[in-house]
Order: sequence, then structure tokens, then C-alpha cells
Amino acid sequence: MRNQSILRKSVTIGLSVAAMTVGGVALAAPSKGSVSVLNWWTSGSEAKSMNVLQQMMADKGYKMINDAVSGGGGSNARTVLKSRIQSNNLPGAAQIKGPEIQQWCTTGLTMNIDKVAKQQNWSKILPGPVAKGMQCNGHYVAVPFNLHRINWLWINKSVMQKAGAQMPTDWDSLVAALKKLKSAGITPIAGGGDTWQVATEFDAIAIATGGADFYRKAFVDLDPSALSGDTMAKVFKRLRTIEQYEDQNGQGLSWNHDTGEVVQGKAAMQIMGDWAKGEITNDNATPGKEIACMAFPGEHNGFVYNTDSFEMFKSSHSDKNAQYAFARTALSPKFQRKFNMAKGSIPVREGVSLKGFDACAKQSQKDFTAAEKNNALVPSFSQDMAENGAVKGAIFDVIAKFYNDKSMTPEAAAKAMASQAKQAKMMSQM
Amino acid sequence: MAESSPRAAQAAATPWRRRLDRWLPKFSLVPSGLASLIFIYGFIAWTIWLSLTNSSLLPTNNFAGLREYKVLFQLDIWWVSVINLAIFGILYVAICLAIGLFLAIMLDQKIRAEGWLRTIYLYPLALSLIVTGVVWKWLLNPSLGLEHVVQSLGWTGFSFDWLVNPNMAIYTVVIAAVWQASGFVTALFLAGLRGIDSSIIKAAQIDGASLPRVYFSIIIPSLRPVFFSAIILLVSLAIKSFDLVIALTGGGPGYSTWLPAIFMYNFGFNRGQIGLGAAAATLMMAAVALAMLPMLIAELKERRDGRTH
Repeated sequence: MRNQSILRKSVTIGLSVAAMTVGGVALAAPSKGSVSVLNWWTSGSEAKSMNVLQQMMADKGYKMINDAVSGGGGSNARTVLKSRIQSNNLPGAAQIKGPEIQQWCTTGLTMNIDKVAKQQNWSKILPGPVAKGMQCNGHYVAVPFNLHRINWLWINKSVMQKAGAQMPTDWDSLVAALKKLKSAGITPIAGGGDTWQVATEFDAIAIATGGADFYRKAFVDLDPSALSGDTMAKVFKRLRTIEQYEDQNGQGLSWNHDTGEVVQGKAAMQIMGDWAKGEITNDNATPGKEIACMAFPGEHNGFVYNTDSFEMFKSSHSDKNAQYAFARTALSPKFQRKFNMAKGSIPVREGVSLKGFDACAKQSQKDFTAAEKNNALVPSFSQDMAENGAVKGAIFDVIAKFYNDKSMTPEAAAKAMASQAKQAKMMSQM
Repeated sequence: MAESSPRAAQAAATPWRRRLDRWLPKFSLVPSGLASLIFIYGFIAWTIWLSLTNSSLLPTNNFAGLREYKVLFQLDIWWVSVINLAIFGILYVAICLAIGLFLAIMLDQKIRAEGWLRTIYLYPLALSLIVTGVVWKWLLNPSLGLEHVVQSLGWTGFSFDWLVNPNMAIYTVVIAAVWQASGFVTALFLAGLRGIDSSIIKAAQIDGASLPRVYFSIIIPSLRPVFFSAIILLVSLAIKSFDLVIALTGGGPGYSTWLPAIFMYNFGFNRGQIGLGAAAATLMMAAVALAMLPMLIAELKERRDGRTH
């Protein structure tokens, strides 16, 4: 008797589990094929965006398996990708960005998606440098999702007023404002500490100080004279100035903590990419209103971009048609609007309406168009867009050393940057 | 031959049974032996091989000689990691042993509420290193933790900013690591103390030896095996320390609290320089071996000598 009831119970449980699974699958059926997508988008808004993509693909009959691996900046996801390659279990698409796209291409594992690119006319709808970044040997192998701007300065307007500081327009007025804030007893700049945050600041200072040509020469071409020259020394000197106005106890506090400090008025400014907008709205402020946004001030205007992208792999267990559909759906105007509104970035493809986006996104789009016209669009080195991991790491090391070692001169730092970047480049090319 | 003949006769009587008895234990050890051969020594060998190749994003088999080691020795960040490990390792082992021995001796004085105290000092061990790291990160942050609290109590001159000071940050790692492990060392020593034959101590006391004398001449020397196992445990823990630093300082400020394990992970997995990471791993293993070998040899020799007496 007892055995029977246990049996009955387990059958009931089994059936209900099966029912739930069927319920989940029903969403995707009828399936025209599936694609597994390896990514590190696990935060609330990001995961939601992936669900939107999943739903949009399901509507067309494709199944998207969301293989999300948590862990900051994707280092865990990268490790997972490598182990999956070693065990011959490749994902259909994996979140890979910047020069790593070309690095993976040399392994011969990537898939050609020229077919989708032709259908959607990518060479027309994507900005030149971005389109180039998605290609390898002249063929499209990756699909871009968004455009983030790195060189932003976020300013709490009321704090500035309280301290009697003027909104900055160039470097000198910025320093004057920082001085005023400090004497008023307010932390002028929230941030610092974490090396990637300092590097992000360095990124913004570099384009504002040296301009796009200098930036490209230094961080894209790794030209030794640009890396070790006077302009680079000047960039380091300005980083030292910024450091002196930063929270000295900020070490180890995360970037979103710093954004919170600005919104709450404990600090006046933050130099951070436009993903900071998510934190600003979370704290019930409006980007562009209470918290002003402007390109980091200096002698030059420019747009330092960061593009998230997914690279396609062949001989994976995914279906080719589903992989194509993934690329197509990601660049559809509907998804571009939904996704970028949630992520704080702007659509990467042209011809998408920005209605409903915040003021900073509209500003970003305007500056982007201007920068594209003036050849002032550069890939961000601090966000893995300009160099591979080895070279980026070497540049980060020098910036971290300079930031924390007050006895290091800007000239010495510039020289060290040139030699270490060269060595890392050599190591990763062999 | 004459000696072994009765045994041989016995074996001949039930040869199968005999042979099975002799081989069964060995056979049952084969799977685990094979597993450790492949998954420990095999992978150690593979790592050493990778450190001799120019592997970058994925492992390759292109032999490159000692190039990765040459580069490794030129990197400032590697030497920072090595020096940090020396500072951290020495202080961590020494302080843990001192605190552990002291607490164990105090607890051994037949005090009341020992069970209670034991729970308290063993508690930190129950926490993962990640939790320890995060807790100490908040405690030591100057604008949120200790410094802030003491200053708001009125001592405005008080300053404790080691966590954000690049020259001192490695010592905060020592503090948190010692807090985590010294209770465990206490437990080891307490077990050792309880295992000492009380008749020897009584005999010494009858001979008129004072309590400190008893401790220094009898008890502590007879804790030698406990010292040995505690040091081996602590040294290997120190060399592979990773999660505590990640949670406490994130390796910062800058890279001032990096340890070789962090170097290895970062270069091998994040920066796509598997060759360099493998070289770092190989050197770490060599360090463990170098630290352990003299002690192992001494200990084994001691035991062999002991048996001949």
C-alpha cells in the first residue's frame, strides 16, 4: 500500500515537472532550429534584454538557448568558451568583442555570416569602423548589438551650484570647478581605485587631450612615439590632477557605488561610460536633467566607443539557420530600440528612431554622427575595443602603477607604456 | 630457501586464494592511482609543457624554449606578486603559529566554558574566504569601517588606511587571513596538547620543574609533528591564496596586492597569455616543492632514526 502511494506521488511529481517543461518548450515551438548563445549578460536589465531577444526569435520559430555565465567583464564566460572549444562543444554564438574577434578568426572556428550582412545591407547601416571590426579577412563573422560612449562626464548640477562652481567647458574650467568643490568639502570626483575605472578615466582624458589621431596612433597602432611622447605624458599629468581630486578611500568600491555617490550629492562628478545611466535612473534621477552629461572636456571632441558583439562559430551543435536568425534579429530596428533603451547605449544600426530615449542618448547620437563625419570615432582601449587582452593588460599595468605610485613621473609612465605594450604585442603575436 | 619453504608449501595448498589475497588490495587501488596519475601528475606535466610553448589564446604545441620565463622575470608585476607572497607567507605562517599555540596553551589550563570558546575560535574557519574578504573589506575601508567609527567617537586623529595604501595593503590581507586560520591552528595544537602523555609532565613536576620549564622543555618539543603539519598546511594555503585577495582588495590598489596565483589566473585566462600563466604556475609548484622538500626529508629521516632506536 505504502509503496503504491509513493509511486503515485512520484508519478504525479514527474508529470507536473514534465508539464512545466512542456510549458517552457511550448513557448518556442514549432522549432525551426536552435542556437546556443554564450554571454555574460546576467544583470537585471541585461538578462531582460536577452529574454526579449529570445522571445522575438521564438515568434519566428527559432529556439535561442541563453547560456549566461556570470562574472564581471566576461572573464568567466571566456574561460567557459575555451573549455567548450577544447571539449568540442562550441556555442552557436559567443559574446566576443574588439580585436579578439580577429584573434578567434585565426583559429579557423568562426562562421561566415555574409549572407545576413548582404540581406540587411550591413555595409550601409553600420558605421564604418564598427563594420570593419565585425569582419575577418573581408567576411562578416560577428554581429554588433550596441554603441556605448566611454568619454562621458556625469555631473550633479545641484552640488555644483551649492559649491558655487561653474559647469566646465574645457580642461582649465574643469580644474577650477574641482578646486571649488574640494574647498567646499565635497568629494569632487567619485571613483578611482579599480584599475579598469582608472583606465576608463585615462581613456576619456586621452581623447580630450590628444584628439582622435593621437588616440588611434597610440592605442590602435601602438606607435611607440605616440605612446611615449609628450602628449601621452600630458595625459598622465592630467590623470594625476584628476587623482588628487578623487575620493582617497575609494579603493575597492564598485563603479555603481560611485555613481550613487554622485546622485546622492556626496560627490560631484564621475567619469564613466553611459551604462552609468542605469544606476542614475535606479536612484530616481534623470540623466541629462539632475545629473548632467557631457563629453569629458578638453581641447578635442571625439567619440570613444564600445560595442558589444557576438561572434558566430561553425561546427557547433547549433543550426545554421538559427544562427542567421540570431544575427538578423539582433540588428532588427525593433530589438535595437528595446535593447539599447534598457542598456543605456544607442542603436548601432542607422535609421532607428530615438523617440523615448533620454537626453544623454540623443546627445550621444548627435556627437556620434559628428564624430563619424570628422573622423573622430575611436575604439575604446579600456573596454577591450582597441587591443587584445595581453596588450590591454600591459597598458593597464602602467596606468595602475602610475596612479598608485605618486613618485612616478608622467614621462617615465609614458616610456614604460611604450615598452610594455610593445613586449605584450610581441608575445601575443607569436 | 629453507626459511620460506613452509610458507611456499602453504601457498601451494591454496594458490588462487593466496594470490587473490595478495593482489586484490593492489587492484582496488588501481583506479584511484590511475586517476591521480592522469589528473594530478599528467596535468602538472602538461602545464610544464605549456610553459615551454608560446600558447596565447588557446593552448598550442609550438615549442618556444624558456622564452616565457624570460619575459616573466622582466615583468614588474610578477616581482610584485612574488615579494607580496614572501611578505604574506612568512607573516601568515608565523602569526598563525604564534596565536594558535598561545590560545591552545591558554585553553589547555582546564578553564570553564571551554566548549563555548572552542566554538568561537573555530567559527571563522566555517566562513568561506570570500565572506571573510568582503567582511574585512568593509571593516577596513577608511570611510565606512574602523577608521570612520573611531573618528566619529571623537578620536579625529585616528587613521587606519592600510586598505587603500598601496604600500600597506598586503598587510590587511595578512590580518584577514590570520583571523581566518588561527582558530584552526589552535584546534590542531589543542589536539596535540591533549595527546601528550600526562605521566611525563607529572614526573617533571615531581622533579620540581616550573610550569614554563615544563612547557618549553617537554610540551612544545613534543608538539613537533603538529608544528610540521600546521606549517605544511599553512604554507600551501599561502601559496595558493587567491579568493581572499580577490574579495578583500581585488588585487589593488593597482596591482599592489597581487599574489602569484592571481598573476597566473589573470595572465592565463583573462589576458590570453596561457604560456605566461603556465610558467607562473610551474614556478609556484616549484616553490611549494622547495618549501616542503627539506622539511619532508628531515621528518622522514627522523622517523627512520626513531625506528632504529
